[in-house]
Amino acid sequence: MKTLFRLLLAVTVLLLGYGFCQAMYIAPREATMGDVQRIFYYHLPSAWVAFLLFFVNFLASAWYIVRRTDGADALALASAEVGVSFCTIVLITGPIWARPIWGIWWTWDARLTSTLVLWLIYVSYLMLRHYAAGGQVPVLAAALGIFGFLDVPIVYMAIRWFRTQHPQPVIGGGEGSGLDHRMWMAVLWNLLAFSLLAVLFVWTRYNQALEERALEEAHAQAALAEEELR
Amino acid sequence: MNTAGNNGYLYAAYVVVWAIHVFYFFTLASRARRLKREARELESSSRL
Amino acid sequence: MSASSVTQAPARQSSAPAAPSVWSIAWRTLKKDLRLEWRSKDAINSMLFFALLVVVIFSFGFDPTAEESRRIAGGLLWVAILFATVVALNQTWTRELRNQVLDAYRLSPAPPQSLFIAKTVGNFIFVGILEVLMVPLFVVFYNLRSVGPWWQLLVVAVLATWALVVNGTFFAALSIRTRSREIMLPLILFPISIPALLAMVDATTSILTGDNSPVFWMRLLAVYDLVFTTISLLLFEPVLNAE
Repeated sequence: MKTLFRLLLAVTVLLLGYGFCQAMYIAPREATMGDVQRIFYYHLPSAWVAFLLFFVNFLASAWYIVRRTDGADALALASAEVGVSFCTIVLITGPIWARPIWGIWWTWDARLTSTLVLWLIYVSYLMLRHYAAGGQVPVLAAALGIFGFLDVPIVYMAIRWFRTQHPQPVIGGGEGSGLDHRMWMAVLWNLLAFSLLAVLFVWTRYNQALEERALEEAHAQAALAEEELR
Repeated sequence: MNTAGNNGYLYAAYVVVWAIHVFYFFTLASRARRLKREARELESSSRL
Repeated sequence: MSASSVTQAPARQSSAPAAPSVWSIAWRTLKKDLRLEWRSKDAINSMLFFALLVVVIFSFGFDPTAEESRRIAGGLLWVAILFATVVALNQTWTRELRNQVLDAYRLSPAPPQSLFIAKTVGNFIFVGILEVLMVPLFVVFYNLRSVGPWWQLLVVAVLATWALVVNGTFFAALSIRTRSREIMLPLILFPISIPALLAMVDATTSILTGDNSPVFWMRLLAVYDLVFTTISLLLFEPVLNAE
């Protein structure tokens, strides 16, 4: 297990370096937006990874409700935490790109707003985990995880309708406007690198969650043993 | 469109991405240290 | 007194061969809650006064003309109701923590769903009363007059209140298990409720101004109600028995 982890770590570091080169040097310069468009090579993969992690959180939460295994709970915690970290990246790099291109930092556009709401939901999930006490945390968190994920399509529909009724902000370029082949390569390499990074983070956090659980139990056992000695 | 002056935004975005990843890495590392210390303490207290 | 009415359920079950249905237990729990509320008026009074304060404070923040107020009233009304609802929701389950009534309920063979239904319907009635009292106030304070058909507002009100209350009751049951429980409820309820809030505000605004059709928003609220009522009923049992 440990050697697999180290191997994965080495591959991830190499891929992150290669992805960086792809994004900064190999991918061609975008005609209208210039070099700023290269933010996109980190922005889009981060978004995909974040959404995927939230989906993993949903599956793990549902699994926990059905089977009540410690592993499912640890996976739910790890994926939510790493997902929030990636989602934060999406929410920060988005405005940095929007400012020079659209001339504004933020617009209440459908995709931006949905991502923000998603971020809020999973931050509240982490807050619940932080504030709830004792052995009931996993059940409460799993319930909230399921609620949160079912909310996502409703959020997206609501906000898309909300926005189509209002004047659209000027959206130049972006994805879907016929990306160059080399641009796609940069996106895919970075997606691969970021996914592996996320796997490493989740893996580590997962082990730590299990370790925390074991330590708590050991503490309780030690306290019980002490009680008996007296 | 004058795009050359916008490279500051590009660098800022890349710095932010790496800063967040490094920050998360350090929270993981510090938690690992804390867990190791707690495990050691528990072991030494149970041996007493 | 609340403890006795809850523990009645298993006692009756043992004397009569047919177990009472989910609905009859829910009805009995609801009656108990309503009677308690009728005697103390804790939730309703605090909710009403809180909503009144919010309305007055909002009116200091804006000084709208009749046309403008029609556009912002939907948002103000629902935000005031949302805040007031949280006040009532926080009292839903804390009442059952005294004298370990909730533990008694857990031990009894009564289905947990009936408890959830009773609590949700109870909160629906409280928030409904609040709305009936608040809407005339809004009409007076903001000089409102609906351009669209007013009966649509009634449909929106029912759907929206259920949306707030069904999730609110569920999350209140989650948050009583946490430290600083009063603060926790809005923190987990508001993010999930964002689409419902958007729908109720926009539906109300489109009816008041008569500019757009509110049908999409009403449908969205109905879907939201359906999805979250189902999932709450499914997940309430594990949450109630979480140890």
